[in-house]
Amino acid sequence: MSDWSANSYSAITIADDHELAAFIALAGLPGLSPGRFWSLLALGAPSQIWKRVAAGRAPRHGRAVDAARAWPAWCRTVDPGAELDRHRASNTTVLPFGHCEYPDALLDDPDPPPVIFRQGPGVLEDRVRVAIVGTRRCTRYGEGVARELGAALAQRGVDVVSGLASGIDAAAHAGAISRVPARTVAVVAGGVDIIYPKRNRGLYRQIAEHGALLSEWPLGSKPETWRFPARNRVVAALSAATVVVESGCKGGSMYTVDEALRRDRAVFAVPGSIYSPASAGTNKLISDGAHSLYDFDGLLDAVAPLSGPSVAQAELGIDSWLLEAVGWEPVALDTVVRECGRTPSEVTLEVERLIGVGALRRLGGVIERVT
Amino acid sequence: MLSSSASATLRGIDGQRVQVQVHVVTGVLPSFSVVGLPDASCREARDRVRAAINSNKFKWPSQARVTVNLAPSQVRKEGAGLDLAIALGIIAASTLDEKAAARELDEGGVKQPEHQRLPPELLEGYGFVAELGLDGSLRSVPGVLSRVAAIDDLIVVVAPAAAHEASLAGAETVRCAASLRQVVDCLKGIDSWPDHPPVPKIDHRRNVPDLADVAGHPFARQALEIAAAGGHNLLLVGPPGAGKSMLAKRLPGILPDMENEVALVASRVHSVAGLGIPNDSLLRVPPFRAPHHSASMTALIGGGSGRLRPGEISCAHGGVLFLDELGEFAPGALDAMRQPLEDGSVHISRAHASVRYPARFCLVAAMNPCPCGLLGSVEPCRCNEQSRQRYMRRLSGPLLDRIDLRVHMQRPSANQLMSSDKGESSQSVRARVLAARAKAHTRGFPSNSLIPAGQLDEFAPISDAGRSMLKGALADGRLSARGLARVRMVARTIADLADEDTVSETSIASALALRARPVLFDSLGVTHV
Repeated sequence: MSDWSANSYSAITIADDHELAAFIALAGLPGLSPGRFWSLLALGAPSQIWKRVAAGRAPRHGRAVDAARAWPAWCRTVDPGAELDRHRASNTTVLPFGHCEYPDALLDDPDPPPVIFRQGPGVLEDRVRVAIVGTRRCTRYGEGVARELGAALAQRGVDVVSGLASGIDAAAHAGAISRVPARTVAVVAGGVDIIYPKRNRGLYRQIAEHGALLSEWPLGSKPETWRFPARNRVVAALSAATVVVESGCKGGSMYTVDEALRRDRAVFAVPGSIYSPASAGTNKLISDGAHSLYDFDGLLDAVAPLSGPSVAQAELGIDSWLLEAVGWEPVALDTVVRECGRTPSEVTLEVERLIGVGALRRLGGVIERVT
Repeated sequence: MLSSSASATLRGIDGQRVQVQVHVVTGVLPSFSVVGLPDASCREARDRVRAAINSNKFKWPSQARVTVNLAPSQVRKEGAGLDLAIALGIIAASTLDEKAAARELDEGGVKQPEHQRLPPELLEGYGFVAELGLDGSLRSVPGVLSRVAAIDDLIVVVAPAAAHEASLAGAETVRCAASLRQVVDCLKGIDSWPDHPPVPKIDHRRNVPDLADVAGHPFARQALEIAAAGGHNLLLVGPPGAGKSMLAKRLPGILPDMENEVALVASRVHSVAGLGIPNDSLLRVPPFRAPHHSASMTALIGGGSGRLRPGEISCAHGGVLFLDELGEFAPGALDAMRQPLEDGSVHISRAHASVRYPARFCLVAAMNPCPCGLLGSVEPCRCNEQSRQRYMRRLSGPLLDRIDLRVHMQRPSANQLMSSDKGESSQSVRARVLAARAKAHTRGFPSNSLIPAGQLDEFAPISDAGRSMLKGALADGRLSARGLARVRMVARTIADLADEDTVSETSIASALALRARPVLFDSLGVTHV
């Protein structure tokens, strides 16, 4: 790939609601890749293109010929005006390329989305963004890292970008949104109203309320397989750096890494056990020269050196015989009782107090210091 | 000729008095029928009774139509407990009175020998509860305790093995005899009723393992004590080999003996279920039932298509139901336990009958935290999210919600296993449990888990520090509104054990920690359960 300092795309101008309705309808054409959409848009005003497509007179070339054959039939089932109303009713903002709220980071991207559909307050241009990506089939370790990394970045004022899939993505979003202000950016592979996987319903709602829920496709678009790589390119393009928490040697995360490298962005990988299939890809990335994320500070210093410091321990009043006794390793409660010579009740009281102020975390029969 | 004698059958765990009427007509085509809703095992009495009568040197009436009526006829009669009454009825009904005997002689017949005679009036004032062997021997039947209780105004005749159980039921006089022949001879006054077989004295707690064998596990031991003192349900989570079953088996050892009323009901259930009760007394040590996880819903809850039977939850009445490998039980069977857990009894309805079985028990469940068993311990878990999720999906949230104490156990270290230190003995723990239960009694409830949520302010006032700790837990989502009442009940029990009037911050903290959702749910972002 050559050096992409800028692209050759120009802002899309939408004259009125009629044009906007046609534009939304066009974006929803089945099998319409971003590249194909750009070439359609070069033909004229959206309403005219819509007429041509509906009449079966759209130019056919490239790999999308099969999909294009079905367009006229599809057009007859769609009412552009109703589509527009639906987007307005659900507070979904339509941002054509060049719109004043269209993310700056995508404007001079080599491969920019022609349009972004958005729910939520939006991408804040003055905040640094970091992508946290990884496999759906993550381990507890990966999930913990993603959650903590998300929270640590949010604490420093960095917005976490991810794809809102299950596994690493969901954990990273959940970590970020657990801090105040609750912000995170999610780029999804279907319409922003299609919750996939269903288990992430709560996260969808929270992100649509506090952060930015973005998609390249209008409401109702199904998360089809071919949309995922396109989605991954937007995740990489929006972010100053990409962190892969866990990934196999193949998979969507590796595609995100390729897109980040193509844009000359930093790539971090979290090292893992050499026995763990979920860490095979990240370990390989490190061996290939990615930054190894061996502690959080390295990443934080690289992307947000000047962001706010974490709140000092003393201010929270965390001063406890228990914290001194447990150190920084996870330790079983049974062990604490045995080694400190306290009764279970005394230990429990202190543990509950420290969990209350957020200094300690309990996982089953094990406790761990957080700050 | 007609005879009538008393016996009893079972309805749920209660006895039902049955009048056995026998009518014998001679000089017709021979037949033998039993009417009055007998079930299959009851109808089989025909064959047993005929054999027993013949092998004890009585004479089956020749060329006779024998009709046995079991009254009241709308109640289904089950089991073999009516055998003795039917046999005696037939012997009595075929005994010729003086007029008939004379007529018989006139017509050229032979005199009925004395040893085959039993005048029907001798059966009055007696009740008979026993099964007959083909050789005429008397055998015990399930549910003697309940059956005898239904005819306790009569002199009850049972098999020698059932003599003691029958006298526990409160009957006036209990007689036992070895065979049909002996019963008839005793009724006629030729022989005297034999003494009851001697009952060996045994220590009922002898077989209950002691807590002193468990070293370490301070939190799990504490939770066990709380469960015993307050009647709260307990979930033990831990890797294989952590000692979950070992601990659960020791719960009956720290529970107080069952009181009279509960002991009687529990003993009846055990007797009806055919589990037997101790030889010398009612069941006093709380029962410990540990069904295997392949148990069907019927086995757990009770019922059955033919004869209704109490399930494991009823057999655990007054004691402990231990479900090891909770995640492996059929989800439907576990869900069916929710209502009995609330009500303390289970109502089973079938087309032919509907019965209520008691089921107030302490549920102790054990499970691994995840397929590899390491989640929530110091070592990292090796499962991926999907397999953990599959594992979690087997558990029903509503069932889990009824378990107030959830403890994570760790595998004991090598040092702990090899050390000669003993834990506190069951006896001294039981002393504390008894003291705490006594406090619950003064509030008018058998245990704290039964305090209604509306009366918690009255019975479980909380200190200011404890109150602010609860407020904090509610605010940051560690505790749900539903969990609040349960935590307060558990805290009340902990405070009772520590001899506090007002529930302290320490007790609240312990109750909160015990209510913490199992790590399995924690890791998956499931909201509070």
